[in-house]
Amino acid sequence: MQALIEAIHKILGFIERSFGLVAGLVIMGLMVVVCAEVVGRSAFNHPIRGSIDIVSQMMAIAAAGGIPYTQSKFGNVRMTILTGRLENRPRWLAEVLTYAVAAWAVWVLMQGSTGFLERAWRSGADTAEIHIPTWIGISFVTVSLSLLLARLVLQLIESLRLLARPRASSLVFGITRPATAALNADKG
Amino acid sequence: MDPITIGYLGIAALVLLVILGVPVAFASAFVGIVGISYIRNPSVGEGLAGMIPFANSASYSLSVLPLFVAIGFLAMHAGITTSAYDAARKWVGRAPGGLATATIFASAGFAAVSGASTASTAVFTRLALPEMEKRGYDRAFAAGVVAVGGTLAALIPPSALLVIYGIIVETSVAQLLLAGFLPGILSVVVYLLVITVVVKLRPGLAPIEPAVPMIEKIRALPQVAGVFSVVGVILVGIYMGWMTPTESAGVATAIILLMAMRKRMKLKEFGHGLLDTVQTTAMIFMVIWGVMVFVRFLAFTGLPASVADSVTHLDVPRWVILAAIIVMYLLLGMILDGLGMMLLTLPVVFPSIVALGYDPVWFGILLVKLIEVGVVTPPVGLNCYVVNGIRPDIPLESVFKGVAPFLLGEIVIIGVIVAFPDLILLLPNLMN
Repeated sequence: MQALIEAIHKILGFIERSFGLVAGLVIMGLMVVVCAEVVGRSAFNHPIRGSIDIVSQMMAIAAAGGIPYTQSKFGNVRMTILTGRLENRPRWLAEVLTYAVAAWAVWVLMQGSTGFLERAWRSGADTAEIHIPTWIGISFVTVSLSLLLARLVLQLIESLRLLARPRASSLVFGITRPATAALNADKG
Repeated sequence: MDPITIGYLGIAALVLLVILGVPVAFASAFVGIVGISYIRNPSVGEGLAGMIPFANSASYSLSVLPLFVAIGFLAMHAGITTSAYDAARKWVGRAPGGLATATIFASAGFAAVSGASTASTAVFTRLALPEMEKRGYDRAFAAGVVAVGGTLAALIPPSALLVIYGIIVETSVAQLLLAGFLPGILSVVVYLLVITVVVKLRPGLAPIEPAVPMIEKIRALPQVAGVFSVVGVILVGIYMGWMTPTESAGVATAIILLMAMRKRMKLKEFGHGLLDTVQTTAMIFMVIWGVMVFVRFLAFTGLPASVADSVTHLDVPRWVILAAIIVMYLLLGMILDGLGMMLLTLPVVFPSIVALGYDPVWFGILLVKLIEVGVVTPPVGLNCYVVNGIRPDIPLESVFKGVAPFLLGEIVIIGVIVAFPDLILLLPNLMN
């Protein structure tokens, strides 16, 4: 079980990092587009046609691309004043609640986003000025939400495993313990 | 059950989930979806919630956020922050509490290229704290200076918090960024006064630095040119109406990137800078999405309008209500993260503020200042945790102790913001 979780964690981590880097490069792309707009408008009196459309559609990738990576690094804002004091089973029980709530909410968001994508695809919705189809951005958001859901489910499963074996090591949560110590602690 | 009661129950459920450790983004989305599904039906809940991530990211006005975040991380990974600290140390090192003063100046410089106070605190904990310790500074005092200096990032443009506030309450981001400048400078002046008074009273806290030749001081200046360029581009570009906030952020990012390339930033450091940018951006957007689902739910209940109506009909002067709101934020700041606190309370508080006749831009500045006081006050004071996280050998209590003298200064700053709204609105009004 642990080996399977670790294998999925590594594969997912690679995809999340790749998505994150794509989002980062898109942010640099945003910089290029807005600089080109400023230079074109002020120096050549020739603004880039549809720059607002381009920037807004790039934003979908810039904002959503990093969400699975952020969750894999536990980068979402949370209050740990209470749960930070918990250890062993009470801690993992709180984590199970956290990931169950998070996974359910993201599952609904993903379902809703999929429905939104279908509607955008069917209606041929596009941007106002240069008619970029909106399904491209929506599909990126939907895929990112799917990856986030996969990460949250993995963290939920790992929390359940640690609830059963609170002193086991965990690659997903970055907990390393000597194998024998963990075994002895579990026996104790 | 009437919708307003459902709204109150929703807020109670959200607070409970947040206290239990569920991240603000997921807790607010969860309660929002359940609430909308209960009031309408599950398919409405799913349909509305599903549109929010795309609708609240594919927007031109939101594009300013990742660019502001990128400026800070690229500056940090390119070593521009180190240059700013070095220059500040050479110029003001001889003043009472010279290295502490230099840290505040350099924090202000970093604030001008970064919008995140925790990032600023992390940088100066690694950079300035060891220097102050080496020179025999009191550790608690030095740690307090670093934690407080970090809060400048939230007011001095570019400020991520002010941009988020502007987007949520639909107020001009350009005016907010301009309005943040003077209170940011005021905060610097007050912090410097606090350092001077504390060091005069207890000289043992901060030994005097050796003199630096003028030639060295002048040589240090070109290293901080990038910082001044970024401030200039953002403030002048927006103020003169030459650029939108997004465009000023894009040009400022390009300047910092060019400086980073000139400083021979390695590809690996660039990659780290990008991933840090992406992580902070995604964190902000996740909270925005989750809270927007919750805001939709509250709108269905009619709770915000009902609260605003009750508040305006209270038989007390409006300043009493404002004072109560300030106290509420100071207390909430002790237990909640600033971004989450702002987004969770604004849907209910902001309509009341507007109904009472207060200026939205002015209130944004006041709110961000209150949030920043929250990040240096116990028990949750995030900046203090950052210092303690990087330097576990400095106990959290020591960091809070070091921050204590500055809290008096914070009260003065809040007093000025409340008493002189015209001063806060000076630059935005001049722009108009």
